[in-house]
Amino acid sequence: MNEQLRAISELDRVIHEPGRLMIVALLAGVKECDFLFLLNETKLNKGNLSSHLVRLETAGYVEIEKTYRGKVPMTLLRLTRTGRKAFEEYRKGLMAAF
Amino acid sequence: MKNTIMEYIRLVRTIQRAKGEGRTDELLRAAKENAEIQKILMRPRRYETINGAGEIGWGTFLLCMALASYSTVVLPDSMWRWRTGISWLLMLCGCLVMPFCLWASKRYVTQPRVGYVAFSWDKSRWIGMIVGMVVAAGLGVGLVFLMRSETAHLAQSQIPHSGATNPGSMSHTLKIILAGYGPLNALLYLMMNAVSIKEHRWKWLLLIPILLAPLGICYSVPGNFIELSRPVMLLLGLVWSISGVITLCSFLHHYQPPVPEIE
Repeated sequence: MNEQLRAISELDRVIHEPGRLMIVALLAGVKECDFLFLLNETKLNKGNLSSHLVRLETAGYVEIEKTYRGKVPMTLLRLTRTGRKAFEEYRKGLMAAF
Repeated sequence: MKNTIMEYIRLVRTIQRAKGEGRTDELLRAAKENAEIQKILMRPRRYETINGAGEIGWGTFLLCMALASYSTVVLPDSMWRWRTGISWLLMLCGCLVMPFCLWASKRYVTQPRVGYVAFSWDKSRWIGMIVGMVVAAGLGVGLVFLMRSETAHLAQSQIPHSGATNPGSMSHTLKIILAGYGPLNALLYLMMNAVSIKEHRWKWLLLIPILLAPLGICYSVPGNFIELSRPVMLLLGLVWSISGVITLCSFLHHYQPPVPEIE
């Protein structure tokens, strides 16, 4: 039992926050997406979503690319290799708890 | 990536077992969180079928095929020069409508409303696509093989005074195959709406005509395989198209494009 509880306490805190966990989980299921997609799926407001993305980018988990689709600006987001690995580790840690 | 739906089912079972074993809240929470992550991982898949374009595409394909077949018998003999052309044109439209629907709906309907998302073509997706193509080709070849006698019979019946006694009959095997259109379409319908059917519960009802229409037509209407496949495809096409149009209307109603910010 202690082993299991230790597994929970050792979870990656950057990913463990509910908002960021949702962002990372959504990005893990796709190759890339834009800011609007994440906004719709997470139901976070723009400010919160931006700050979470900056935190994930600082940790090296998310890659942010500013681009254009025609004349419309678009922010493309994708999980880096480190991010994917961290998410897999996080899930393994969670699995170890039960 | 593992099959997310199967993984989710497995997690839900684990939670139920953990509850039964009287596990602590902390551990149960971890299991629930994992199941929640699995649910989130499945959510982007909704994107592919969220606006009903796939259903409209497949429905229109079936309608075009049915109309192409009908055009060969409904159009008057004076239009025989046009008959083949119209039939081929309808079949071409049917083949092009699916990719066009998917592309146009993504570009002009989904992306401005719910954003852009791209999926990676990993190994499992390629394998699924290749297996699907091989199975479809196998079924096609098998059907042609089974229909040899049917087409020969039909060709004979079109020759005047050829002595064809019963042009409107079909073997039991072909009846089963034609009735099998129902379960096959129902399976495809469920696969296409696996994630979104929870939001659109009325889609369960549409499974009834999809399953029963081919069966009813096969065993109650006299005719050969080609004659009966026309109303079957027409009905299935209509059901698919209606489902797609309702899904599209619901999508347009629920998702509005974001209002541009005033600077």
